Amino acid sequence: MSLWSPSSWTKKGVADGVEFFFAATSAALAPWVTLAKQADKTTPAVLLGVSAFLTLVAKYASRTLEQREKASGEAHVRSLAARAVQAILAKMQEYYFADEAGDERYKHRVTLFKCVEDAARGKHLAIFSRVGVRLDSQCFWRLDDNHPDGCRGVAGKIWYHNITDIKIAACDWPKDGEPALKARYAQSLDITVAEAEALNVKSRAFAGAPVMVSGRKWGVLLLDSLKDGFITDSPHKKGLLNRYTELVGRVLTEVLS
Amino acid sequence: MSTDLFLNQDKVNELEPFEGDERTRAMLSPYAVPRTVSLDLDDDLVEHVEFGYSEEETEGGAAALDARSDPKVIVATGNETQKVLSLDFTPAVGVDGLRRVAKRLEEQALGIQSKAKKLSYVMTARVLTEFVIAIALSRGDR
Repeated sequence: MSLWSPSSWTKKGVADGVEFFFAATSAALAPWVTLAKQADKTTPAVLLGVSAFLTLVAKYASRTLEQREKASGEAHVRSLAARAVQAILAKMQEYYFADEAGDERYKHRVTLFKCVEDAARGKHLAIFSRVGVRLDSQCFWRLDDNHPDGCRGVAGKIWYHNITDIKIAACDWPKDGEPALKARYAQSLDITVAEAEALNVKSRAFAGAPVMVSGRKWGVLLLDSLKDGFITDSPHKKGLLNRYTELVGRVLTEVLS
Repeated sequence: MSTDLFLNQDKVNELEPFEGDERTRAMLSPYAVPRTVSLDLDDDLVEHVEFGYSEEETEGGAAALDARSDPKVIVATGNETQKVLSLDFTPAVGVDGLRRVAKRLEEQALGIQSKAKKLSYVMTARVLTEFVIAIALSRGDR
């Protein structure tokens, strides 16, 4: 007997078939029906969850955008500040070392150090802007708020003592590597021989002052020269150092605040 | 009555103290060189002197200059640079009293470790002395 034989379609068979059809359909739809029944209870919670999730995503996206814009804005401000300061330092170098012949001007530099802190170096003075040779220098000077010995280099001492300072090395750095002269040079600048050896440029004279930004100590402006006689405490040169230090501080206060 | 005086910067530069020799010289930072002096006067007696600088700074503390009470002098110094921001006198002092206060400031400066604070004390003493001399000259006495 064929399965599809009409002879097998008795009334009872039809009734059984209908029952089977509904039973099978019900079984197949059972999960959906259950879900549908539960939907009335769960929809508000689900909607709330979804909406909370979407809100979080939107907030995250918005914050990320804001942070990107802020970072971009801050980078722009930093770039503006650096360019403005660079122009001021260039003028300062021109006026302060005005009595130097043009081709020898490279022997004198003006550097603005900024106080920064990171895990590797701790608190230190890093180059923010420089006019003169070794613009790409990674030179830094460690700082210690509690002891002057922990503040390294002329810049570090200026930072610690909060003073304008002039230092002339006792001698030039020896070209022949004479150890006694190396020691004399380093000692007169209050640095170790190793620190002196690490310097790209072994300058003879230094002058500098702390820079205040928004009423807080921010960094140190430092002049250095390979030649003795150009950095002095004459009223004219001290006046220039003071005025330019204040100018740099004011510009940074305006730009960074 | 409060009187504000702008200081002649050339004169201030002449008065500016320093430490060290020809190879190393410590001086006041540009922010610790006084620009103005403001005095609270009452019947020619001074109760309060305030020093103005190029950069405003919050007060880091105030302490008695020494143990003396003729007058008692309270010195307020800056939080960052430790420069002298103001002096308060109890009781108020006349011109001669200011001269004595200047001398006490110089004496106390000798024992101060901080270079910036020490130099600021000496600078303050010198400005006060100059003020006293200027007043004396304006009155015709020497």
